[in-house]
Amino acid sequence: MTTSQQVSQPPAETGPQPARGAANRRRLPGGAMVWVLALLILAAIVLSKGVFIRPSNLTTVLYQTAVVGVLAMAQAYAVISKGLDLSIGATAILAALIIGDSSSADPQFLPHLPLPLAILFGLVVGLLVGVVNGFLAGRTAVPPFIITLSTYLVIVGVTFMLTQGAPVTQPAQVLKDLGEARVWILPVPVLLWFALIVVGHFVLSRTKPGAMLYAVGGNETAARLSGVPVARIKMFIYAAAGVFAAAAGLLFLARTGSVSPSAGSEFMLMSVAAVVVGGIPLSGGQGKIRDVVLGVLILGIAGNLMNLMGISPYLQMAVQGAIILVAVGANQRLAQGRGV
Amino acid sequence: MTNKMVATVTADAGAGPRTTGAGPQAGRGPARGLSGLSGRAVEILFLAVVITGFVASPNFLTSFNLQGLLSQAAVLGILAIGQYIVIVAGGFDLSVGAVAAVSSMVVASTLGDLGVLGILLAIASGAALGLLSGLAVTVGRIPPIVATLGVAGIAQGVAFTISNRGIVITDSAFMTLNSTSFGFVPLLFVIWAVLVAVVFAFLRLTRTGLYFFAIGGNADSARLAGVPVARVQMTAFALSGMLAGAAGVLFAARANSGLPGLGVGWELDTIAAVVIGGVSLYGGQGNLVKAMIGVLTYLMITNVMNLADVDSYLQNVLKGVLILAAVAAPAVLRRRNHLMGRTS
Repeated sequence: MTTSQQVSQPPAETGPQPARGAANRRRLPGGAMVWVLALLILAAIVLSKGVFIRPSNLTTVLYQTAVVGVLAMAQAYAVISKGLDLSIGATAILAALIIGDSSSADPQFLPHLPLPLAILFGLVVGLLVGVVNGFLAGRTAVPPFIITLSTYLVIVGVTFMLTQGAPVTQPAQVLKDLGEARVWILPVPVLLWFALIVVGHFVLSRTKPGAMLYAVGGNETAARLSGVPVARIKMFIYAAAGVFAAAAGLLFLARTGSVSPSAGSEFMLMSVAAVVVGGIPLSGGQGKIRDVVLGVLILGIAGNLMNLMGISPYLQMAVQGAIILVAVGANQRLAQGRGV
Repeated sequence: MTNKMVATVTADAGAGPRTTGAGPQAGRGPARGLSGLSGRAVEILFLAVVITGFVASPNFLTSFNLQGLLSQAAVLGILAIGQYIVIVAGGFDLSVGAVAAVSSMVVASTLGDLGVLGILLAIASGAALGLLSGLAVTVGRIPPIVATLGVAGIAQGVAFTISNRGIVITDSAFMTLNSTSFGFVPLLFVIWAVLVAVVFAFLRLTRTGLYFFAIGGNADSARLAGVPVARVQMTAFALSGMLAGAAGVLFAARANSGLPGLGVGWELDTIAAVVIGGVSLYGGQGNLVKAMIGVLTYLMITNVMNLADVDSYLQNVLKGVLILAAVAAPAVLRRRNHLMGRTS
């Protein structure tokens, strides 16, 4: 439903959307989410009686947020292109298992590899999954969520076939050490997340495929007619999402030191939640990496606060579902757009 | 190893359109799925699977195996009726599995005190969750996929909050639901058949039934033609929730317990089954009875793989590939028909 003007407007302003002639209808400006975040932080400090603001807790929040932060970035690429990638959580776990096992001194199902090669192996597998998704998204008319839900099934199957259900507990010691190492108060995985934010932002806002991604999401037919190679851009989008997902798996492995094939069941929902809470519309063609980072931080802090207040993880799951509904609902009402 | 598996996915998915070239949606352009021109692809596939099963395992056509298969089909089939309604009306319901889990937990925890009322309460809880999806889609203007994903999260949270472990049911009257059968036809299957008949009649004979197809075919034209789109969408999701609630009760009867973690992947199973039955993913087209044959076919494929001792993890992989092939075939053909057609 987006107008064709937006197509030629690459990394669009987060701000006004020329929606249905009504000039006063605008989606939430990026600034609003900053205020939500600020209010949430204030509420967290008060409700936790100051525990929240302790440096150790703040570090924990960032530490726990980093993995979802990277996944959400992958999801943002898909959502901005008016798609959805439900396979990234499973890809992350598969990559974590591959990196963990092949870098281990005593690998269970893979040949032993030196750590850099093991990491490369994991990232390449993520890339391959993304390429399959991207190929199908670009060359068939199957809705992306069905494609990625099916590849999700396949990946989970492969994961369990490889591991026979057993966790990988002995990744290379260096990796574990790196996971716990800190620069000042910032753990290395968090720094890696920051670095990936810069990369993700740069690709989206400063490169040609990034600009074309917005065009495809804004109006695919118009993009095709103006010469955007839509199938190739979709390949790029899902391939990038696959690599980001594998990187998230690497961070997850470094942080936890071990990974079970059944881990990460919450990743799918959380990555979508972070994107929509950040205010990126599901109708495609809009959104910035900054929005996702805000969304992830809001969810991470809300989760941390619920932990500090002793709310059961199951109830948190329900809260997360409700947050998705409220966030998208608010956004859609403001944008008056309908998508996916 | 992994690389090989991933490569297989590409190869097989690519082969999909060719192998199912005579697929349910083959070259029909905008014709209605109800018009009977769609060929007999589902029926042929169904028979092919039956014959394969018969050849592959002597245990396939035993009354024991069929009885299990049919009661399994009843649970998935009732979920699939709901999924069918929502898809025909132009949406998707990714919450059916989680809603069934809530319903199984509700019935398991209230049956002791409330008896039959507990069953009704379970079905009502499903309807309430379905209504929530409907509200999110109509009032909240949230795309169905995301709305039902959110509701699935809520439902999972609710199911686990009721209890994070399964609840065993001891009510002996309730258990007869599962143990009763007529020959090799279990009572559960009969319940499914009755529900299919009722919904079929509803779709054919009532105005709302017709409206489902209208809004799924083209919501804008339907609105201009005076169809109360929001109300019809709401009805579709509420019905799907209610049916998922019923399926949860039947599952509880089969498993003798309520399970909070139930139903993971069922949303995809139902979508796949319905698509195998020739229902268009773009809404507005599809025959309920064929969709139900799709359910049986889909389950038989799993059943045959079980009987042939295919590794259960490998089964997951194959299922994913199968779903992609089933979904991609009509989508690819459709794309050939309308080169400039709707984007996904």
